[in-house]
Amino acid sequence: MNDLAESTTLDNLVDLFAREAQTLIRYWRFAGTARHEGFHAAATLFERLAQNQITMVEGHLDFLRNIGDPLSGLPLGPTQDNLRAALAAETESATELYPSVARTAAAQGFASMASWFETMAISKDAIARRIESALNATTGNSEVRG
Amino acid sequence: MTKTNQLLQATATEEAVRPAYDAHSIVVLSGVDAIRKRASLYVGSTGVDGLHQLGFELIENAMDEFLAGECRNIYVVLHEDLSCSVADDGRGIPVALHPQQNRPTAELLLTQLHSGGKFSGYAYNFSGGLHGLGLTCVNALSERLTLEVWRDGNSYVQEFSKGVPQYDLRNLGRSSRQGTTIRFLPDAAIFGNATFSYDRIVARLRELAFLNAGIKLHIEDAREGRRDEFCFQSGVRGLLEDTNRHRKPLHEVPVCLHATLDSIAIEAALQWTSSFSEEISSFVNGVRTHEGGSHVEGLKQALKRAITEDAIFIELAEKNDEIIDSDVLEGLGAVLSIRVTEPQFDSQTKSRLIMPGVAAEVAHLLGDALKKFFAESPQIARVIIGKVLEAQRARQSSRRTGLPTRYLRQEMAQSLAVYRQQFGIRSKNWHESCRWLTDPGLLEAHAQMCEVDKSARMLDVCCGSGIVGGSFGDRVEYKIGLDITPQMRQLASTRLNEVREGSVYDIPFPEASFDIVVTREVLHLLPEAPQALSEMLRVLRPGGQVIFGQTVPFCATDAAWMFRIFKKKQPLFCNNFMAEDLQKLLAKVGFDRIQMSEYLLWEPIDLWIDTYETTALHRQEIRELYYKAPDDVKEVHPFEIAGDGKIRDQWRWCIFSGRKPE
Repeated sequence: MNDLAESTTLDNLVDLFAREAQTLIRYWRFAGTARHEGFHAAATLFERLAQNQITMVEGHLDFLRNIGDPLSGLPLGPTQDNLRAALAAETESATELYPSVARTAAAQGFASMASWFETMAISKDAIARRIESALNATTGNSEVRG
Repeated sequence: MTKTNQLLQATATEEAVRPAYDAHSIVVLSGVDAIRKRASLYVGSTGVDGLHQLGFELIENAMDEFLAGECRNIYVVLHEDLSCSVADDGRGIPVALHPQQNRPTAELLLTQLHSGGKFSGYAYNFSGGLHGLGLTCVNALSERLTLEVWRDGNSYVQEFSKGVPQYDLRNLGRSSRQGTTIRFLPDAAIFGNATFSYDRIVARLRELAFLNAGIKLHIEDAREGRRDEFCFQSGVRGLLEDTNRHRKPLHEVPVCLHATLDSIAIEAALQWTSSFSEEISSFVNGVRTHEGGSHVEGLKQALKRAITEDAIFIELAEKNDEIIDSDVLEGLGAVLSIRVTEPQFDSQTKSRLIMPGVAAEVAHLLGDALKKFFAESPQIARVIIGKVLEAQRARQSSRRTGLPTRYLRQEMAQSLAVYRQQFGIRSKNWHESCRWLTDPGLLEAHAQMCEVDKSARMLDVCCGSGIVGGSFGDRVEYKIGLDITPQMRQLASTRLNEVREGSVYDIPFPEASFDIVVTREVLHLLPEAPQALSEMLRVLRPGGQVIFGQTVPFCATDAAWMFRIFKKKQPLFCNNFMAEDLQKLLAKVGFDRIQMSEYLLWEPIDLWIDTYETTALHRQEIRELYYKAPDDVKEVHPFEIAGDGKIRDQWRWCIFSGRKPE
């Protein structure tokens, strides 16, 4: 089987992209905590590991962007494609994903988590609008790059 | 005289309506305590870059006097005690008591943040220094600093230590001289062992001399007894010709454009070359912006508009041919110099201009100027538009054929075809396409591993131009090259006794045909590297030797970073071997007596990535990988970014040797 798009290697790449992106944010936070607790050597270690994580997680994206967006399934590459993929993913988050998990959280009695997810749904909707207007600006050729 | 200078002269003659540069034009905003604590925030770093920034601050301040029409010479001296002095023959820094602060203005300029003459919006029209932080920063970060001023027929002196005055400004009496000299010793507590680099300062002075036609810049290095003097009348065009001197221009005379509007003066020189990468040197008020910004965006928009709206383009382009930035920029050498009042940058070190209004103005003014030029010079327009369309078609065809193949696992036959096409194109300027190819030390490092008799028969696999095999000289008797690319075989035939067509996966010779097999920088491109090594083993006689060189990461820390750089440069890259991997692989394939030597080589990255197989986006991303390299990588993998943004990287070459068991 030579088609990467059909392979488990692509699934692995998508999973590891998510994992390394999480690792980046975790290290960033771990560094802040270590700094706060006075463990300066540990804080510096986590800050440096976070820098390395950027190299690594972007390396996964180097491969992924030739195939497509793991979140929206749309093509990536040129800015207009990237904006369309971003818009699709954020719209899904705003209209389906977060409202649904918010309902589940509320039903399961996790009130503050439910509220957090609802807040996210609102934020994501606003983000989707911003991406949409940026996309319209590029397709309408009215954007002044500068 | 350039239009900029005309403009500046016009502003300089408006002294009657504009206040003079004296104590009244200095506005004091705040104190300076933070500078020593957060030096890197103000000068970019506390290493060798920040140290040079101090010198450049003083030079740019002196340059402001030239721009105001008040100074002809600037003298830079690197003293034996590691201090640096910058002198000009301008008006001299104002020494009168400041009306609000009741201290000499010169002292305030050296001890207060935001106290520059440029800050109050007049006295200087277009100013290069760091928004008035310059002199104060230099002073605060100097172990000692001496200010000498000659102004209004008097001579003055004041000394400082770590930004603190050691005595009040002294009047040393009458003098007919005019100007300012500042000599400072950077504080070793902040900058460590960093010292001034003559070459680096010379590079900056050359640039300034080009951008400021008529200024005389003198530099002397008392430590090494060197001196130079720069004065050019050719302006941005001269700088462009200097930048493009190693490239092959497509039109002999550069396109020179000038435009001025109320608050902006623009000069640009453009010349397209046969290269692939673009080289845009951009400046704001004489300061290099090596990350570009609004003015460069404006230039790109201007180019795109002028080209796509030109009648020749409309005649030659096919319908629906979409032009993107990288098409108009391919092979372009450009110098863009703008002067604006109150420039806004993304950081104190001014590497990127952030002024959307400027992007629009540059796009508009340069676009019109370029359209006019094209209308007046249709022959040059035709050459440029031809290059743009060629770039656009190459991009589209690579996209059409490239897209499906990218989804597939790298198939051997397919990569061989791509390899043949790619290296056929690169054979045109093969030896100029990177430094390592012809580096004598690296070639010698291969030849030195040679252990076979002088009567040996050699096979140079994937021989390219045959330079590796050829460099063995009379260490072996008969040299045969093997390559799949016809153009490369042609080149190799001048260095080797015989050259054959063939692939490393299927070497067209029987077993035990050779005493020695050599190759270099090939295995990282081969999806089936073990098979290639097995083939080399097969054609060696028992006891025969294989020698090959390969770039490898220094250690695990830089491995992922290097992978990304090499993959972006060369899409065929598929093996990021560590040195140990290759030793193990040799053993696994069946070689014994395995040895390895190392050779470190500085590779100019901008040259290396100026090549057919590297896309414009990948070139940009490679530069970013260097600019934003993790600190861990910087500790293990030496590379340098020069003041003009050029990168050189110290590659670790490992040269391996193995023997076929007897």
